[in-house]
Amino acid sequence: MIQMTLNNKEIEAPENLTILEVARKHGIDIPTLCYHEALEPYGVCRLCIVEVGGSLRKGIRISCIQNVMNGLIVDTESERVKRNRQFLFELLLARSPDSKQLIDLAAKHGVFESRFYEGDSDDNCVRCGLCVRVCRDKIGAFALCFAHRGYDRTVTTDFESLSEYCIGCGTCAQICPTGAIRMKDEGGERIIYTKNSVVARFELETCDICGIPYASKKYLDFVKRNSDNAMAVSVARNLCPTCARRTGAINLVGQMTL
Amino acid sequence: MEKEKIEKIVNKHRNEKSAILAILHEVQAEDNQLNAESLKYIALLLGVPYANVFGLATFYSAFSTEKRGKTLVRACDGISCHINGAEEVIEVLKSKLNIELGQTTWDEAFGLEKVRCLGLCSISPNVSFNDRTYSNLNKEKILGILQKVMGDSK
Repeated sequence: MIQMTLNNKEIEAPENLTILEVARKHGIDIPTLCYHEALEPYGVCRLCIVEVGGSLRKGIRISCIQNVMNGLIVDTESERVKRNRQFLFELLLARSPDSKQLIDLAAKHGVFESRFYEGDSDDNCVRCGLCVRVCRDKIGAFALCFAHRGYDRTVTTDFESLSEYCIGCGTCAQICPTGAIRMKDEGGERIIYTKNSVVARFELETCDICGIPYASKKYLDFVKRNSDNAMAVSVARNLCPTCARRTGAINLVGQMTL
Repeated sequence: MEKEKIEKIVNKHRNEKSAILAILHEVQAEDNQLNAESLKYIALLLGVPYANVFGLATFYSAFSTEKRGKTLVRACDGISCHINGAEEVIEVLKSKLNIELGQTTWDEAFGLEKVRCLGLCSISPNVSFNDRTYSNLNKEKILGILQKVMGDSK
């Protein structure tokens, strides 16, 4: 355990945690876009900045990467932090003025418009890389990548066409903090798409009991291939999550009454 | 590019994943492009996901996924070059080669690109033709060089 000061309060915190993790444990709200508990910190959205002092040289640091240490003094809401954070929101809003999630978050921190506004854009992507990272590090599908560089950097599939690697799990759409990458199930088909490209298009398998289309074949194969036998058996039943839960519950109740 | 040629290059680097940049460089030099087929075959041989190779090939300006001219003309328009008259030089290049920036001549002999810095600010403005760089340029000088290079490439 180490001793540190967080917003003028003496606290004790375990080592090997980042400032962000410690602050959130103490109920302090620090906005983030590129941070996710399941993934390694990436440090690109910069919104989680805090002011540090004490054992670190006084200045602004990104809290999702900076570990806590003995004698550290952290201020998450100083004037300097607020000013810098508002500036960052303006930069993000200049690029993605259309994202509802981003607009709401910015408004919460007192930013309602951007000095750098350069016209309407339906590009909601803030290049946080969550989708690319989750696809690569957690799912292991490698369907998404960053292509081009600098201002032209975009999230895309390999060769900007339908990806051969995508399994249609939809995690990228789920994790996207600004709604730039989306998923819709329509007429037995699942489409994952971004502003300028369709990531994937899949026929969905239907549930054996209720007949609702629920997952792509590639996804089910992927789960079978990458999970232990018990899981693979339950995937092989061809049931949607709701029906699988219901049958499970009925089996359980049946066993109990017997 | 033909599969055998790519195989040869990849084998030369002992199918080593870490040699991917060197492999891409050699394929680019041979073919003047890294098209989807070549990239997919390289990825397959090295056992890397397509997405990684595509990300690399689009990130570095040394690579191009579209066909590029045999001689790539890189005109520097960094701060020093800009102040010393890079714009004039670029205008001459454009009108003589009859293409815009980022384009390739009809016979695929020349490609023209604007770059940020060639690292030769003290003798600016600079233009490089493939690996050869010419410095201290002005309108007249670049004309002479162009005529010479165009003559050589014929």
